[in-house]
Amino acid sequence: MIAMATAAKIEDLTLSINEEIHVKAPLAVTFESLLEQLGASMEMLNGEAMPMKIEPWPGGRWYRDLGDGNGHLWGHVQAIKRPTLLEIYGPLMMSYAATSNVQYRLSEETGGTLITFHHMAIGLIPADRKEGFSKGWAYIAAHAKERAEKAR
Amino acid sequence: MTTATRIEDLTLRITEEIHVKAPLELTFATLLEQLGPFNEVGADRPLPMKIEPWPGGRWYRDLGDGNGHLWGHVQAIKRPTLLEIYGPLIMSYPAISNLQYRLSEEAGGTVIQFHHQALGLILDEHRQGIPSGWRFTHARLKERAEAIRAGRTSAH
Repeated sequence: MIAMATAAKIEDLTLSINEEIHVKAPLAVTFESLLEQLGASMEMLNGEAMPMKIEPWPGGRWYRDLGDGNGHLWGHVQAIKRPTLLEIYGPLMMSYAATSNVQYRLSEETGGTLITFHHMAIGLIPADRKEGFSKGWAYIAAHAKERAEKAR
Repeated sequence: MTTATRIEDLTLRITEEIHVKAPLELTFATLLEQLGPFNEVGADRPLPMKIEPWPGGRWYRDLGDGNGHLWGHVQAIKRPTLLEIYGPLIMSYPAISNLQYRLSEEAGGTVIQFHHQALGLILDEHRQGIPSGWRFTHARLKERAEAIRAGRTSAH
């Protein structure tokens, strides 16, 4: 059987999350901590480890490696300019027609580093998933901050 | 191309359930082949593709000498139960698709739950033609998997 359905309302098609993270650590340390947090030290909201791999070059993959050629692609590096910019483009964990732009812009501020983050998405995004994204990004940011401040 | 005026014009959702009288592993391997070197767009109209079966791997038409068409990247692969593709597919305009094949065992074989969702400035001719394209692909996949299981190898 093949079935086709119509879409939802236009408001349901977009997602926009913004966050500012103030880190008491130098720019370079913060950038490295961010890569580490999005990669090998990635965790789920319950603290369970979910290591990812990030290939830190333009077009590099951000993915979950399950071994033997299995895994989940979350995106590709759209822009990387050490230590001030990391941008990802891709489906993230969305198993539906959607595409995202994730952006981390880092700049020096008094006493440390300011990370300006955004996640924008367009797609057939289920309403009940939107809140989860905000929590997930906040968790990652908090841990990147903690990691950078410890490393400082 | 005209500007979409309704949200319905921007989306495409296709679902299909395919029942295959062949084991899970064989069906999964045949799926990869059908989307790859055995891809066809109609009877006796081969359009061989390449699929790199790992996360982020390309699904593309190789025309040689560095020429070709990228249809998508492998978004998820968990042998032998999941294959997911993300990308433009055949759409040469701003659009993004998610293809999903979820395989599970059922009495006498394997059931494949398929969906294709797309969002973009989707041409009418694609909206009309894509469902029958998938039906053809899936019918060939089923036929090939069942022929291989039966020990026949001529179903190419």
